[in-house]
Amino acid sequence: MVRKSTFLRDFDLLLFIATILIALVGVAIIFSAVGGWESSGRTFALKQTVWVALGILVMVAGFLTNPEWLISKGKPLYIGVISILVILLVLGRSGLTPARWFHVGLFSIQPSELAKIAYLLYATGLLAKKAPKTYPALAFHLFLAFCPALLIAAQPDLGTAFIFLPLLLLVLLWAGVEYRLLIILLAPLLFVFLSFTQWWITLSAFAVLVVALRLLGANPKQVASCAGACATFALVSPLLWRYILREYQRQRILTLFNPSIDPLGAGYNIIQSQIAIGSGGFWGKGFLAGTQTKLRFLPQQHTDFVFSVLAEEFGFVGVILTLAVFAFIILRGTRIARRAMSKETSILAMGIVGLISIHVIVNIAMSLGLFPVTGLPLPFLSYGGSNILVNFFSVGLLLGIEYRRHFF
Amino acid sequence: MERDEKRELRRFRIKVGFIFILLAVSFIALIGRTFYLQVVRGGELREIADKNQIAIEDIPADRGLILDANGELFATTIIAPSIYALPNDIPDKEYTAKQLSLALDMDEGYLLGRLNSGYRFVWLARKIEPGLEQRVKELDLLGIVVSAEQARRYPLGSLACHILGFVDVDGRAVGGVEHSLDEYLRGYPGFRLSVHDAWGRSVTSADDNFIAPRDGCTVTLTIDQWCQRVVESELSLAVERYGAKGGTVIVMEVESGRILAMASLPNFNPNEYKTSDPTSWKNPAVNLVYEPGSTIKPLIVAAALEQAKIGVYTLINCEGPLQVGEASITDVLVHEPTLSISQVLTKSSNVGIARIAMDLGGGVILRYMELMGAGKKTGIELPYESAGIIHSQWMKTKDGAAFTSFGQGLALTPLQLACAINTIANGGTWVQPTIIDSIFDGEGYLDLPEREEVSVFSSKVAGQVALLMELVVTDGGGKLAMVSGYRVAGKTGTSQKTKEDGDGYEKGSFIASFVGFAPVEDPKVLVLVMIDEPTNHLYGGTVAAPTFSRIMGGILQYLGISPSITKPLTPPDPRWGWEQEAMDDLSQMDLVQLIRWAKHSGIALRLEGEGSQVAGFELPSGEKYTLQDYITVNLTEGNVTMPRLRGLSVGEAYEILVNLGLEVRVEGCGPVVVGQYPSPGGKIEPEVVLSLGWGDTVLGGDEQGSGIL
Repeated sequence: MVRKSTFLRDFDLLLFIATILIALVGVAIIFSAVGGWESSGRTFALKQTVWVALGILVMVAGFLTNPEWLISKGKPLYIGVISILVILLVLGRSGLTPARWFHVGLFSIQPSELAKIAYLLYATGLLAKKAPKTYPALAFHLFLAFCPALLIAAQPDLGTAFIFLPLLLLVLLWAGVEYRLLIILLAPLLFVFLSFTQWWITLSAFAVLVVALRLLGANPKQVASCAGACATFALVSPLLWRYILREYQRQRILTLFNPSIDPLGAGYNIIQSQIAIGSGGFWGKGFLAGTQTKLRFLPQQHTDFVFSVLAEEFGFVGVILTLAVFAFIILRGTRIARRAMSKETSILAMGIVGLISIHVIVNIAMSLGLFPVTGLPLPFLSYGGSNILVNFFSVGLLLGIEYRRHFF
Repeated sequence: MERDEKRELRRFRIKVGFIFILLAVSFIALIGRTFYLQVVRGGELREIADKNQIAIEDIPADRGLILDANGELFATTIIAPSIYALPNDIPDKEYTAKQLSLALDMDEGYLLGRLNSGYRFVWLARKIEPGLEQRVKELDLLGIVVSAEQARRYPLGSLACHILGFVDVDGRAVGGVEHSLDEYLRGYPGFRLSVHDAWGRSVTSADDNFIAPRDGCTVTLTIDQWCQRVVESELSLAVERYGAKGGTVIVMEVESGRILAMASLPNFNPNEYKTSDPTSWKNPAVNLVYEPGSTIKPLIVAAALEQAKIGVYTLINCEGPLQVGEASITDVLVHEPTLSISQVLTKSSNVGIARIAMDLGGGVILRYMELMGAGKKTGIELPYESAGIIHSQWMKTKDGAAFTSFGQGLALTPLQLACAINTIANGGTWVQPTIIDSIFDGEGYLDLPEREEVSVFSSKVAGQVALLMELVVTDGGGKLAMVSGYRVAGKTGTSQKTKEDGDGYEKGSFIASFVGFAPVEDPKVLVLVMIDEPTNHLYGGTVAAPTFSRIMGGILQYLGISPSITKPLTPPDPRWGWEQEAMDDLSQMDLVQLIRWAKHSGIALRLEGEGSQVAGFELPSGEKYTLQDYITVNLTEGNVTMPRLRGLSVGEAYEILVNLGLEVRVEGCGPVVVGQYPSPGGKIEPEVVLSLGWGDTVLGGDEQGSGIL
């Protein structure tokens, strides 16, 4: 096929600009979050600027990389990352080094960030060839996702580990997996929560599940196994809660759902974050004028709670504008995924969009107190090299997929 | 195949739609929550954020002192301990509350409630008795802090209470100078603005946000504690004796308008203002308005003299009753039909003064009254001053002129009346009264506003009226106002109290007043005495004049004003024709005699050495005796016995005793030494006790009488 278009027509310039724009906003907010004109502010902002600059280069590299080639390298990448995670975990357990970071020369890399992409590439390759239609195939995909997730959870980085579940569901959905299979996959998890509600709710949900599976065409064997799994989970989790978990663990989990239990301890972060956001009001307190931020009432304000800084200093207006840019990036991403040239690039694109969306939604929801504090970065805005580079690279891949959609 | 594709497309669209719905729902949730936090709860959360961070620690300024004219303390600020808690720092609240309740004798439940109130800071006990805080300190409880708060104290109790006012427990100044000069007295609190971060650490450097307090200014009043004491004791005597409701006395320095004393009854103790009757906080001297009555007559005479409507020897037809409009004016005293100007005053003839006033015209009277401050606040530095009442249109009429001339139909405050009469004393110039001597702000004295002066009468007229007023005291209704040794001018006044609604008069309720000044030849002091509703005597001349006399006498002596009528020792020739005998005379004198002699001869002494025996003199060189010269007296120990001090003023006695190196203790109240211990001629003891009183003040001393009373 001959190229029909000029570079500019096929290059999604708006996505490119939006990405850089949001990253630059991130630099400004980090500058404010870590102390403004004080030396720490300058250092962090400078570092982030370097990361953003590198990120733009990486984005170009992602753009130039042939996505199909990259997908084909999914398996070795996945195995490599898993190995690194295992090594880190072993080293971490032996107390030699913190488990999250992998030091390469001057930089330290967070392999968990790489793991997301590596997993996505490998899963994309497999799904593009054949969407799982059977339990064993599904179980294999579950296994693929759970390996890195469990390793990361053991670091312990629950937030990033959690990401793999919605990511898995999304790519499965996009790859065309039957709904009933997805339901079968999800249902047992749902019942973990349901088991803590009233018994009649659990029972009715159980009935609805069985009927829905039958209607969606699941065979009796599938229904039975799913129902069995659900029942097991529903019965085991309260026992687990009561007899296996220790008091402090229970407390921590409860605080996730209700921060006001412990305003000075675990709930502190989320309460202070909401105060910061709320005190920003409609117009915000102005750049560098966020008092909650200035006085470090906000925990991890340049990483996980960067949204609170944004909301405090730029107010509701700033939040809307930022969300608009994110929404633009996400919508562009889904468009790219929809009209990608091949199934594998489409799945990859949707996976990337999913990763970004999940991060954005979960992170902001966490800052707003809508979601338990799990410790996920906000793409492009949070401080951190690995995160920035991986995100830029992902958008680079999206740009590349879009650019290549006329090639065959 | 096509069907398959179509199905595939439908499935695809459902997938896309599902994803979009998920995204949309998520974003709407995020925006909605943000809106809720920022817009709906924005203000509330903002307050929480501010509280999170900023703590302003006040550093109170010391309230300024109030001193009397001699620098004696009228009001001071002491530090009283207060106890507060930082509940977050308290490990065991029950234990803490229990311990504190034992130490402070407070209710344990109350304390525990305070500690559990959820605030980071709570007061537990404020301005407790000094010393009590030591018990709390000894307990050494975590999170319990003893701090110091200011409390105002008036060491002289109720003395000058109306002038001082007080400061309530919340630090608000109420009444008096405390109120009117609050701006100067309160100072400026300093503060330390500390911004705390999430860990409670102050993130501001100490110097950046520290503003040192500026203590309040020291205010020195013109009030003399001694004069004030005399005035208050005399006033309460008079109020008691005449069964009066209250009264007011004002003592004013003629030339400067400085108020030396100002007292009113009923009064209160500013240290215990809480238990006093709030109506007693008012200062009638500046906010009671009453019809001045006859005391205004000298002013009408002065105006008529000034306008040359009458002369000093003019005879006035005082035949009554005088029909003015519907009313008829009569006189209280029976007298001849024709009176001289002086008799109009001495006999206080309403008819006579009304004729003069009608001749003079209401417009002129109004002008003079206004020049002397009627209907206008005097501007003294006291709060809630009343402007008095004048009806200018009415006063211009014939009726108005007639009634105004004997002090009806207009109302003045005691201070306004004192200032108006002071115009006569001060050679025709009205001076604005003042109560402030100086305001010292720690670095220098503040510039006080220029006191207003209004030239009303010529000094000639003022002098003439002063002499006429002296006749009131010597020949008229004010005889009881006489002060031995001094020439006194004054005027009595008896006014009916107007009804509360201002329409007509209260039956049988009078205000008796006497206002006068001395010495007539060179007026120094003006005293106004006003007794409110005396019950057993009515007239100013009988009720107010005796009080006036005693106050005036005491103050004239206290101020060291030379008596007008004296019986001095024969002084040596003032033109320095010193004879040996005169010198011998002097050397015969003991110290006390010498000081008396010098005082009556108007010669200054300088005492050198210690002792009571005169060893020799040094006369000033030069031909002429001038006021700056003095005789140096060399003293030796000699065979010292206790000198006779009786009859001396307190100041003189002090001078002598201090020269002997003795400690002095005084008892009683008054300007004159009436008794002493050890008695005259006795052996000297290190501490001398003087009894003060209102004894015979004839100078030259009486040789009889023993020392101690």
